[in-house]
Amino acid sequence: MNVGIFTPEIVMVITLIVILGVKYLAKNQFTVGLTAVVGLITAGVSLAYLTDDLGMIWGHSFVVDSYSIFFKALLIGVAVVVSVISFKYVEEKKIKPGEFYSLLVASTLGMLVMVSSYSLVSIYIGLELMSISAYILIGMLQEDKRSTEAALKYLLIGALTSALLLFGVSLLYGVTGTTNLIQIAEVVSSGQGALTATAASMTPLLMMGVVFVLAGFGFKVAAVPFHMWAPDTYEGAPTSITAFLITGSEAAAFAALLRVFNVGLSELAETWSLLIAILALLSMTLGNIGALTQTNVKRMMAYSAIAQAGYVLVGVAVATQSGIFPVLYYLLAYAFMTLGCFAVIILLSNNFDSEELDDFRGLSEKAPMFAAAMTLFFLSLVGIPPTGGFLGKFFIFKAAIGSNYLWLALAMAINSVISLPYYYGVVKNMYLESPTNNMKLTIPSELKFVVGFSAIAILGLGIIPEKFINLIQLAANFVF
Amino acid sequence: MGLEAISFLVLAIITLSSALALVLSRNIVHSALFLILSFVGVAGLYLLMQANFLAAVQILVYGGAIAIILVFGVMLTQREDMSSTNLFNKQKGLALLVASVLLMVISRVIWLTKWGSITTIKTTVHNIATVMLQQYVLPFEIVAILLLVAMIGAIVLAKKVEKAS
Repeated sequence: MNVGIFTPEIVMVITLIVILGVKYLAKNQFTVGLTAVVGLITAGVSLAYLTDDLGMIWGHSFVVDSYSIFFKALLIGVAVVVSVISFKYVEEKKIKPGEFYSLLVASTLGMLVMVSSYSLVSIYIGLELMSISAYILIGMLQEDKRSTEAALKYLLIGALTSALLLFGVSLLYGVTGTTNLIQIAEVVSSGQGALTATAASMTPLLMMGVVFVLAGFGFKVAAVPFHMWAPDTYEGAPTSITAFLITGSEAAAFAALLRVFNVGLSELAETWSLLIAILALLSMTLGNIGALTQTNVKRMMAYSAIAQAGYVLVGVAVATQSGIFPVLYYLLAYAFMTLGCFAVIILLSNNFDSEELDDFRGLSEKAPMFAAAMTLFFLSLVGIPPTGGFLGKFFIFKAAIGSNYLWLALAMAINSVISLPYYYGVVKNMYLESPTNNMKLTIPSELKFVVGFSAIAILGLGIIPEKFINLIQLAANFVF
Repeated sequence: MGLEAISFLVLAIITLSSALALVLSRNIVHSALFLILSFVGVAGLYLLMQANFLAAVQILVYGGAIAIILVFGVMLTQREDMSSTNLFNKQKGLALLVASVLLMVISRVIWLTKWGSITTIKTTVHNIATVMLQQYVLPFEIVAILLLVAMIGAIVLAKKVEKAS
């Protein structure tokens, strides 16, 4: 057995414990944040030394393949950026830094476990580690009642979700007699289950398991009709944690969802694909309509995230026929544009202590580069060339048409149009309205770096996509 | 009806009715006690399936430790009047509707499925150890981190906010 394949995880466990100690030794909070960033980057770098052929150990409960390496790199990247944009915010809001960063690392560790497993048990435990750390992170603005409410809501709904997911997993296990996705696939195709004799007799139970598992993951990615927690939670949580949930938590949930449905249950694709398509349609439409009337930018981004989850779900629905490449491409582009947006939001939040849409007024005069970058991120979220968001949407759109989901592709196009007004409202505030006050913005250099980097990445994904496409296609080839 | 079927029925009725009473009782201390009864009922079901180790763990951990911690928690957050400490909202009707629809769907699925027979294993301890420390050693280790995180979280959230001087 080769312990080396755990290097990123081991580095992260060490980091999360070291951070708690550093907090007491270090003079200022910056050191604590820096420790987290250094630890995460070390874990990220160690990914480069893992190779594809390391294979699987312990009955597939842990695997290292290009798919999991892709997601690990993405998730660690997200965690690094979230730590960096939190430096100022944590100080400003008097969040306890040691616990904040170490929980952030713990949550990322949960995601890493989730994306690199063929076993439903490991996926579930990873999901729990990710969620339990997130419950606490959301409630860390202890002086703010909204933060406590957000944490409580997420905790209650998360507990219900876990129960649903576990019930679904137990049904799958009961029917097939295994929690290993590859063996589940074998049982489903051969019909030699643990409880029942023929393939036909286990279909109803399997379908029920599929529905419950889907509901469980649906909650985590905030797909309609499992979205009711999202706006309140995303609004009340610390701003950088909102970004972390929207990008990291969602990407990890999608990675696990894809693995479960495309490896374990691909035989049943005809049935679950329609279910996911319906979820996608509802999420896109209701998310975009909900976003139209919001006045708080985090709430608006929450509804926008629901809609974006809908677009990704379109890709998931057709993944068995058209491949998972479009989903991976979109998740990558989506991480950059969301993190970029939230870096700008956190800048305003640090300076004005609020996150209303009115705060954006006259941003083009105060911080022209940030206003331009924000416009670029919004263009990408709407899906306008030459941005990464456009290509991501285009690939999903093409996949949907290729798999005879024309109505879904049509709904995507209509929804992009519905989403224009609320993004435009922010851009209008930035460029056409005059500032509400003359306060000068203090702009920390790490935010400049994050916004600049995200903007370049978005343009890179849109203008020279070939490099990325090759890379992602490698990751997308995981299905047997 | 054999002895096994009768004991199953008795245990199932105990488990389900105490679970229902847990949800419906207005006094949270009563709820806690019903929860313990429900745990013990589940332990009985494990015994019936010859998972004796699991049954013992269920009684020790759930019926014993967790129940005591739960009662401690109730005591520490005590109110003056315990008669209506378990809060209700006005959606009982909706909840009943959703629950009964779900029950119907699940019963229908159980009805449709043709069940085979399974063989029970005599000693479960050995198998649990093998599975937990070989196949599932990674999730087992991750649970340790999960407990650490839960501990950090409890301390962070319960500790008073330091007022800026």
